[in-house]
Amino acid sequence: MTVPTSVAVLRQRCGSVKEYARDRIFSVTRSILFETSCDSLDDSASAPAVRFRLAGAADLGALGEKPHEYDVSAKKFGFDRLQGGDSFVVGECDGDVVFYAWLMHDQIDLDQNVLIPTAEHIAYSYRVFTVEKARGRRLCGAYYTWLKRLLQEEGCKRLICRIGAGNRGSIRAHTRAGFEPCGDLWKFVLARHCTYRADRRLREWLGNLCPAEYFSSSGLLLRHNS
Amino acid sequence: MNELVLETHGLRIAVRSNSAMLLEQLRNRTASVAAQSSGTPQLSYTIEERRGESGLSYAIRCGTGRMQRSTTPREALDAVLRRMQLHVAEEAPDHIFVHAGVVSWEGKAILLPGRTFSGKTSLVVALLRQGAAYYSDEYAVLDRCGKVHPYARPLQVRVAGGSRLWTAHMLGAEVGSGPLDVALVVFAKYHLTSCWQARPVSPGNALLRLLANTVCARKRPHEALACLRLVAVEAPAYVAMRGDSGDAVKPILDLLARDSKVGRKL
Repeated sequence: MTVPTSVAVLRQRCGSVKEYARDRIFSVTRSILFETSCDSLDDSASAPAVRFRLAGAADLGALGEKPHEYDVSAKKFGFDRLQGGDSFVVGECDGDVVFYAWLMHDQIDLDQNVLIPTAEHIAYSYRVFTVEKARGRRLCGAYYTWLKRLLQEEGCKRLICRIGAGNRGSIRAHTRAGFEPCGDLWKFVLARHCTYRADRRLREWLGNLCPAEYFSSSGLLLRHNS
Repeated sequence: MNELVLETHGLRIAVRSNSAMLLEQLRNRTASVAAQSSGTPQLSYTIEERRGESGLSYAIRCGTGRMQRSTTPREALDAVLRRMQLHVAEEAPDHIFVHAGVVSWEGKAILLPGRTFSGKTSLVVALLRQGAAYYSDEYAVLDRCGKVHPYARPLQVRVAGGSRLWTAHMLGAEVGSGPLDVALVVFAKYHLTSCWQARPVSPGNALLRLLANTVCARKRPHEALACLRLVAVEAPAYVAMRGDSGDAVKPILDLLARDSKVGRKL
């Protein structure tokens, strides 16, 4: 009989407890919203070995926990998003999916399933992921170059994304791809109740972008869809 | 041309396009209400993607006739989906489609009939937030026994400058799975300054109001009347004025709790 006392199992269980506490008991997290214009193309950031394409439910179903870090609940969420009209993009190298990303139209996502409608012709990029073996090849920049061309053809003007303040790698990659910060969004969790608050800079920026009814004058998110 | 044949409520519809991705997006958008089929379609649509000097454009045709032109793929998809839904609502052989939002509460179906822009979706969203299960935000699909079936297309929530698609799961709600008896019908009308006011209506009045919202009322009046009669007899009906959708949830659930056990006769 194997007794589950290995360090890996302990780490996993501690991780689950930490996640539970963060999501349901108390936590304060900060994320940053970034924006770029779809007209600003950076042709130097191309990676010819990777082919990007819009993907569908079959591609999503084929992703696995390794190396794509896509589990069953994430897939369920993904199928739901496809039904909701979001676009799913994969980057392939020698027939393998080494990169994937999601795109939402005319609304932004301040948390999972916390959607705020925006003005039209705005795209929101989320869940951008590169598999471990393909990291460091500037796929993120190449993806955004490809994506901006696509969005230009569709008449889209601005591209937005939200990145956790601690995710330095992603912030670096997005800044390199032409994104500029628009302000901070704070999420407060206390006893399973979530509150979102935008700083002054983000509040002004969102004021031009989202219906006013979604934010109070103090930056508190008043209404969302969950 | 790539082709996608979809089957829903006994009808097969083909959509052809030179853009495989458009068809893939169409398949995703219709996954909850239609299945992919290989049979002979009764109706076909064509979406042709054209690359011109001013960028991409989309020409949409129904059969051989020209229908409309769109500048974005989403606009083209929305146009085709709208036409398809209306066609199915008119022609579905075994079902009657009534313009109504539908949710289930503790296994009982609540019908919220109303025309486009009458606030069906916002009322459905408010009920889903309180824990109701989602059936439809556009059509109540009734069978010959008067039971309502799920038509769980993504909710089309109207916001300033257009509409956005939200699925029931995005609202934290479940999607209803089987047919249900209708337990309550509320003809709610939105007015900005209104408070909740409801009065019961007779089964005959309810029947006429339901008929006014029935898509195939002119094409198949006998079938529609037979089906709607069952609903009007069994379910208590109310006409209501409402303000904010959030304020209307509790009164609706109170009506359901009070009246769901009371049967009525024409």
